[in-house]
Amino acid sequence: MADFENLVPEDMQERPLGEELDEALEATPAEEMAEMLRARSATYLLLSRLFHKEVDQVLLDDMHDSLYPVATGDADIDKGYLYISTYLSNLWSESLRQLKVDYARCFLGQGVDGYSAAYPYESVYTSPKRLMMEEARREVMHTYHVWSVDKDPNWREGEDHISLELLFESIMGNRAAAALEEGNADEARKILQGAADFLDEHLVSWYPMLAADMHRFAKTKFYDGLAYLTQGFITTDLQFLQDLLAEELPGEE
Amino acid sequence: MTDTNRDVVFEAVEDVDYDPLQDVPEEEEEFEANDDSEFDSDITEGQLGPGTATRPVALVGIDANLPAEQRIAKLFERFATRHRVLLGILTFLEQPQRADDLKAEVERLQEFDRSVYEGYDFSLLLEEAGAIAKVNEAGDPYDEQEEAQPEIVEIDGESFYKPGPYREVYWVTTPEGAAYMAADDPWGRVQALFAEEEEYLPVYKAVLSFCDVEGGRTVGQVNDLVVQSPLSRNPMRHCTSFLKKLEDCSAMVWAGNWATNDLGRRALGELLTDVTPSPKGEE
Repeated sequence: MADFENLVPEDMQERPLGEELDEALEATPAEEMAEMLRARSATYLLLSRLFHKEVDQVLLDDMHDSLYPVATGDADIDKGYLYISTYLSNLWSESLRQLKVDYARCFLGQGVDGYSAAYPYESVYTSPKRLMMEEARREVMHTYHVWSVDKDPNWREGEDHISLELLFESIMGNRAAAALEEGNADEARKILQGAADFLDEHLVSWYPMLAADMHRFAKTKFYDGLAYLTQGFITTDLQFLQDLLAEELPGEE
Repeated sequence: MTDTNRDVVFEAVEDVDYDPLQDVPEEEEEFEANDDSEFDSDITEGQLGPGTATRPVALVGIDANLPAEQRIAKLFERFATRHRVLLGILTFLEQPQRADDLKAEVERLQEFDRSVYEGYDFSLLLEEAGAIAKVNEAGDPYDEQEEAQPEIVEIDGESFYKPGPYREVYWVTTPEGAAYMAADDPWGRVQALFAEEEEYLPVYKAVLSFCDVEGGRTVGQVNDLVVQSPLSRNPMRHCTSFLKKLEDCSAMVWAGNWATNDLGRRALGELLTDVTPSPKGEE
C-alpha cells in the first residue's frame, strides 16, 4: 500500500512573512487556488484529528498558542472558535484529563441503547435502528475505492466514521491542489466535483444530527465548540466548492 | 470559506502519526470516478437522539441528592480498596493545594499500586461526593461558571481570539470531608474485623507477626506461611484475603512488600496477645 503523501500540506511550515508576501505577489492564479485548497485540507485534517481520538498535550499546547478568527461570516464557525478559544482560556493542570473524559462521554457513552452518546458514525444516524456498519458505510467505502483511497488496516473503526469522512475531504483538496499546480485543470475539476458530491451526499446530510447530539453530551466548550465549528466549516465549504465549480478553474479554457 | 478560516493551522497535527486513510494504487478502471450509479446514495433522514438521552452522568452512581456526608460514606464504601489513597488525599488537602501538587501526591500514594485511577479521577470522585472542593489561590470558592474570556487581538485589520494563560486551581478538603476524616476509626475497624472473623484470629496473628520485619514480606512468603494453617484450607482462603482485610483496616501497608505498621503492632499487643498463631512458630 502506497504511503499517503498528501496528508500534510507542504506549506504548513512557518516562513518569514516577507518571503510569503513575495511569493504571493508572484503566484499564478493556479498556485493561489492550490494554496487555498491546501489550507482547506489542513482545516479538514485538524477536524479529522479532533474527532479521531482524544487531544494530546502537544496538540492542546499548539491550539492554546493559536489565534482564532472572530468574524468569519458564518455564525456556526464564529461560535465554534469562540467556544474553543474560551475553553483554551480556562485551561488548568487537569484539562487534558478533563478533555479525555469528555471525549469518552461524548463519543463513546456508557449505554447500549444507541442513544447514550454522539456516535460518530454516519450509519448510526442514517439507519432506522441506529446501527453501525450499515448502508452508509458501504457507500463511503465505494467512494473511497473509486478515488483510490483505503483505510489503514490498523484503523479498527468503520469507514463511515466522521474522522475518515473529514480526512477524505482533506485528501481530495490536496489532490486537487496538486493537479492545479501541475496544470491539469480537468483533473482538478473532477476531484473537486467528487469532493463536493461527497460533502453534499454524506457529511452535510448527516453531520447536523451528530452535532445535535454533541451539543447534548459534551460537557466542555471544547467539544461543544468543535460541533459548531465543523458544522459551519462543512456548510461553507460546500458552498465554496460549488461556487468554485460554477466558474472556470485556472488553466481551463 | 473565508480567508481567515484558512489561517487556523496546527503544526501539531502533522507531528502525529495520523494517516488512517491512505492512497492506494489505482486498480483497473473497474469504477469510473464520479460514477456512483451502482450504489444508491440516497440517505434516509436519520433520527435525532431523544432529548432525554442527556442523563446526568454520576461517576460511581451515587445519588447526587443525598447529603454530602452520605455521599462521602458511600464513596469510601464503594472504593474500600482505595481507602488509604482517598484518606491520604483528604489529609493532604487539609490546607489548599495546587491541582498539580495533588496529582503528584496521588502518584506518591499509589507508588506501589496498580490503578487506572489518577489524581484527577480521585479529585472528581471526591468532589462529586462533596469531600473536596476547588478554591482559588486566596482560598475562596472557585467559580466554575466564571469563565475567563479570550483576549481579542487585531492583526492586519482582522480580529482574532487569543486564548489566555492557564488558570491556577487549588483543592481543599470540605468541612464534610474533614468530618469524615475525623470520624475515621481504623482501630475500630480492626476490632470489628477481629470480632467478625474470630475463628481466623490465629491466622491474623501469624500474618501480622510474620510481616513485622524491616522491608516486609512478599506475597509468596506470606502465602507459604498461610497455607500451613489448617484454618486457610476449609474453606480455602488465599493469603491475600487476609492481607487485604488487614490493609482495609489500616493495620498493614503495601509498599512493594506487605509490612505490619504501628496499628498492626498495636493489634498484636492489645487484641491478639492470648491468641495462639496458626501456623505456630512464626511470631
